[in-house]
Amino acid sequence: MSIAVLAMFAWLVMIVFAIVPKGFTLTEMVFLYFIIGILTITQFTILDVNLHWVPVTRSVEGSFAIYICRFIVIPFQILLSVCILNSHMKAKWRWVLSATIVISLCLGDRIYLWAGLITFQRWNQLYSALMYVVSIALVWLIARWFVCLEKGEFKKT
Amino acid sequence: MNGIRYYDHNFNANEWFIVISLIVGTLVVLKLPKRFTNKTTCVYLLCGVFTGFFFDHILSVLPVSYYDINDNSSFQLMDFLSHVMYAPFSYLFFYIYDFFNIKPNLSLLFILGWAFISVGIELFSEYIGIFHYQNGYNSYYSFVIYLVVQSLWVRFYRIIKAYGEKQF
Repeated sequence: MSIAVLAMFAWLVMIVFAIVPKGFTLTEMVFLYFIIGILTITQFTILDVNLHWVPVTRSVEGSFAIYICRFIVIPFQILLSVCILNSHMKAKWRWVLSATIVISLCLGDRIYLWAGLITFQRWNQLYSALMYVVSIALVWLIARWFVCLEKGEFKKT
Repeated sequence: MNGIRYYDHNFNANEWFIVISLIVGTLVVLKLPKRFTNKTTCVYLLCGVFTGFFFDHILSVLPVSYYDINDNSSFQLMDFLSHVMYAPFSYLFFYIYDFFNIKPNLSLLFILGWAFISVGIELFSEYIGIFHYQNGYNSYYSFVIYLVVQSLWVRFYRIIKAYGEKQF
C-alpha cells in the first residue's frame, strides 16, 4: 500500500506545482531540479548507507515508494518553496508559505515512518525539518545566482 | 561489521582515472568554442551528473544492489566525484549533437554510437575498479540503459531548445 500512498502524495504535489505560477524559465527550473535531486540523493544516501541514522526499507515495494519520494515529492516541494521565496509577494507571505511547505515536508516524513519506509535511529523530526530548511536556503541562494547569469538565445548554427 | 563491502584501501587506478577525467573534461569544456548560453551549458553539464546519480541510486542500492562504486559499498567523496565526471560527457553529447545539427532521422545512429562509446568507457572503468558488478549485472544491461538515457537526452535537448527560455 505504501507505493499507492506515495504516488497519491506525489500526484497532489505535482497538481499544486502545475497550478502555481513559478516565475522561472524552463531552463532554470530544470537546473534547480537537478541540483535538488543531487542534494537529496546525497543527503539520504549518507544518512542511510554511511551513518545508518535513517535506514531505508529494502523491500521492493518500499524501495519504489522511496524513489517516488526522493525524485518527486521532496524535490518538487523544495522547488516550489524556492519559487515562492523568489517571487514578488510580500515578505510575510513568502515566509508563511515557505514554512507551510516545510511543514508539508515534515508531514511527508511522518507518512514515510508510518508506511515503514524509513526509521529514525539517531535522528528525529527536528533534525529533519532543519535539514529541509537548510536545503531550501541553499537552493534559494543557488537560484539567485543562476537567474543572474546572462539571458540569451541558442546560438544559431 | 556494518554490511559495508571493501574492495581496496589505496589511492590507485580508479581514483587517478576519476581525477584525470575531471581535469581533462574541465579543460575540454572550457577550451571548446562557446555554443550555448551559460544557463544552458550549466543544465547540459548537470544533466549527466543527475543521470549518474539517478541510475546509480536505483541500481547500486538494495533491493537490487547491482554494483558498488570505487573502494567500498558506502558513499565516499570519490563516489560523488565519479558522478561529477559525467558532466563533461553529457556536455560533449549535446555539443556534438548541436554542432552537427543532427536531424531526427539520424539521431538513432548518433545515440547508438554514443552508447558504444559509453559501454567502452564503462568496461574500462570496471577494469580499473570504479565499478564492481554483482548479482548478475553486466555491461549488456548498461548498453540498454545508455540507449534509453541518450534517447531521452535527445528529447531533452529539443525541449530545452524549443521552450528553455519560456517562463512558467
